[in-house]
Amino acid sequence: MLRFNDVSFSYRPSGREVRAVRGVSLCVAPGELVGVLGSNGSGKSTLVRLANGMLLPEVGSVEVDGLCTSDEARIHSLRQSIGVVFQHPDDQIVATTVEDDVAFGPENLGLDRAHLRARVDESLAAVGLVGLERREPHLLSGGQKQRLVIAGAVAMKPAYLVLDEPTSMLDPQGRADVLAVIAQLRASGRGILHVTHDLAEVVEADRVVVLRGGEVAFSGAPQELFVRPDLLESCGLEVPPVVVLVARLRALGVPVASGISDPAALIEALWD
Amino acid sequence: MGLILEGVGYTYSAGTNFSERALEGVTLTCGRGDLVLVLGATGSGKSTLMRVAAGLLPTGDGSASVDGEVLTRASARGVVGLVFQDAESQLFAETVADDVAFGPRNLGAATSDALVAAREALTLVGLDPDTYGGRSPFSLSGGEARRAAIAGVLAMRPRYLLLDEPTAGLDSHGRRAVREIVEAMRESAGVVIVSHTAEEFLDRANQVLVLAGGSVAFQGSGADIVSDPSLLDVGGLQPPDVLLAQQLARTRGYDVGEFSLDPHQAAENLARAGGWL
Amino acid sequence: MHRTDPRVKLAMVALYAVLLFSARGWAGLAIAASVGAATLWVSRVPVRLALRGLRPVAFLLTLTLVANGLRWRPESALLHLGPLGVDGAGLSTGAFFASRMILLVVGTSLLTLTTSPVALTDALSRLMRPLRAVRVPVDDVAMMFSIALRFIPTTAEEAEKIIVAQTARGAVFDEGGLVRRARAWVPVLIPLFVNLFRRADALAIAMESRCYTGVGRTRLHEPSMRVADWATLAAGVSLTIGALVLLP
Repeated sequence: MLRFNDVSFSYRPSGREVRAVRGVSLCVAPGELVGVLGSNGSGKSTLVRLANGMLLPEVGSVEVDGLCTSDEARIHSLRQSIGVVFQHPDDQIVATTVEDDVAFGPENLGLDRAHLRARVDESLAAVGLVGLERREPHLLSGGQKQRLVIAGAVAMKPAYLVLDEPTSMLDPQGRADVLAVIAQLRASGRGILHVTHDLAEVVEADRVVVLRGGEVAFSGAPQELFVRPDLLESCGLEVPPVVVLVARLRALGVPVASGISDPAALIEALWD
Repeated sequence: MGLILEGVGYTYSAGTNFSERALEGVTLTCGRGDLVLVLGATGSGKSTLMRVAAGLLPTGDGSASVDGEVLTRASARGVVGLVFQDAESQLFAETVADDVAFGPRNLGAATSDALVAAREALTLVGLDPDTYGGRSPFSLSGGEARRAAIAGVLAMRPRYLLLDEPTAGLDSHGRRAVREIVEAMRESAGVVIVSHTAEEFLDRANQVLVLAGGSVAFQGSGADIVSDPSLLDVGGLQPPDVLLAQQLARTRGYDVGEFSLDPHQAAENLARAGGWL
Repeated sequence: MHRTDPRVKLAMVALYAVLLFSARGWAGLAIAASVGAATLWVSRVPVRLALRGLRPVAFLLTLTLVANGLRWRPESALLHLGPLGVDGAGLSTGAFFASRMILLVVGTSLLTLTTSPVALTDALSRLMRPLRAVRVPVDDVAMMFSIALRFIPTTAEEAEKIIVAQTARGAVFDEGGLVRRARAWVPVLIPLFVNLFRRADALAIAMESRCYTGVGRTRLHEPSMRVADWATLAAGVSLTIGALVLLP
């Protein structure tokens, strides 16, 4: 279980105090996809850094399968269990070829060559980059770069994956590819924390947590959120257009379930 | 008058082994008050088109003019403003005001005039000059930095404003701010926006070009695309969800009537088509 | 040639340099030249490509010839050019030095033309490993070089983007005197450097998240010496020793 226990953290740039996260509790079980939503400044990026001990909470604790992030002696074991993918792929790619970058994490663990090879091949297959092993990173598209970063995290065989706005810099094709990879990773049994400002990306999540001003403003099923446009508005989030459409349909008396956000799913629901 | 490109083509590294034909026969006219939306997937030539339209690249074939004069780097200077993708990476000065004043100063304005233009531009983008003017550009949040960079271009009072993916990476608040800036600019200038998603500006665009493989696959109005979203297929683009829903209904044989981008109107269309209304 | 272990290639270049600089006469240079020519032939690198490395040093070569070959008001000279005279012996010395430089440049060009920068840094870091015993942070330095290499194309792309963005705001880079031109680059260098520092921070976090500690790393690719590599090395060493011993 990935657990945030009543976590608080403030930044202190030159004496001022900026409360980034306040009293946030949240857990992710293996196989669960939990979405974290919030606008800029809601504390979601801070939460990501708290997840693997990059930042230590001032109040409360963060645990990964029983290991606490403040336990310096065991921080390595902890970081093997939780992979983190940040927003800008270029800021995370270290090596000069695709396969060398995927191997970076396992190399740090001192694995032997046979195991390194196996991990690299498995991870590249998991993200759909097979065949690009010797490619140089700057020749990849945005979506491919982000999938490379995910492969690098997956190569550590973590039980949990935290993704910080992985699609915000991508074009539609890249976004679709990355979201597909995330869905697959969840299906393979990992616990996933997907941080984003786009509600449409986490409609399939088991649970969604909305942050506002560093605090949890909502925690529950994504569908519940669709019927709370005022809450979304106050959190700086937009309701997906199809959800607005469905709400209007229901208001007109059309028999359709609420909370559908995909156009194809909507049409099927109406006429199948 | 206007920013006019006619039959423009462009080849990168012409004459070498690496030559790449990025644009072919593109025609575009932008006048004051226009919002021209250029849609295309990655690699469709849209970034090249922006640079040619800003006078940064010479027009290989065809002709380009701005307000009657041949379009060159010199003639475009101060007349055609270009806001790049991730424009905030151009911020460099010690204060936001200085950075925004950079453009006008380069055009020969006296420092005091440049700072006045900077104040106006900052106000236009919703950044209060008294609050933000003295701050370091590197202390701004992502959305604020993007707006400061846009202000840097607006301060030059361009008659034509080109924006490359202006809302990429912004949250809903930031996107709304950019939409408002675009509408405000239309009053005094012509605006061209290049994007890989149709969602944002389709309803406000009076001209839409769909680029595919460097050439114009479709040219018409925003309304044309709304009535027939399949026009976007040729560009490898996904129509906005609301339109897609109506299109899927029509494909199944239901009479949805005239498509609408507005979710409420679209709901009524679907309800009527399904006989519930 | 391309598949020879890069460490051997590095060692060979070092031996070649030793050979070159210990040659005191034309005979020594001639031997080095024939070794160089043989290597060039085996590597199948086009001669034109190998000679291209000489362009940047062309000025230096000319200078060497001129500085050694010309004398100020000599008593006797092959040719008089006003107050300067062309001295036969000096010209010969100059030619010797110049030839040595040419051979050295062509030799190292061959190295860089047949070995990727990554392989070179890997080879260097492995050769430096013994320095670990004297507390030189070899692995960290090697990592630094590797990361620097990785970011060269990315940084170049960013620089281009910023240059174009500032040009679009009316900045001019090719006008004015030296000072003015230098100042014109400030709006490009500042964002570039700020971004590089920010990126370094982010990269460090990403690396730590992937359990980087600097020690205990294994490598996916670590070429090991083959028979052919050892043979090449042996040949090189014996040739160098032979030449040093036998030649004046």
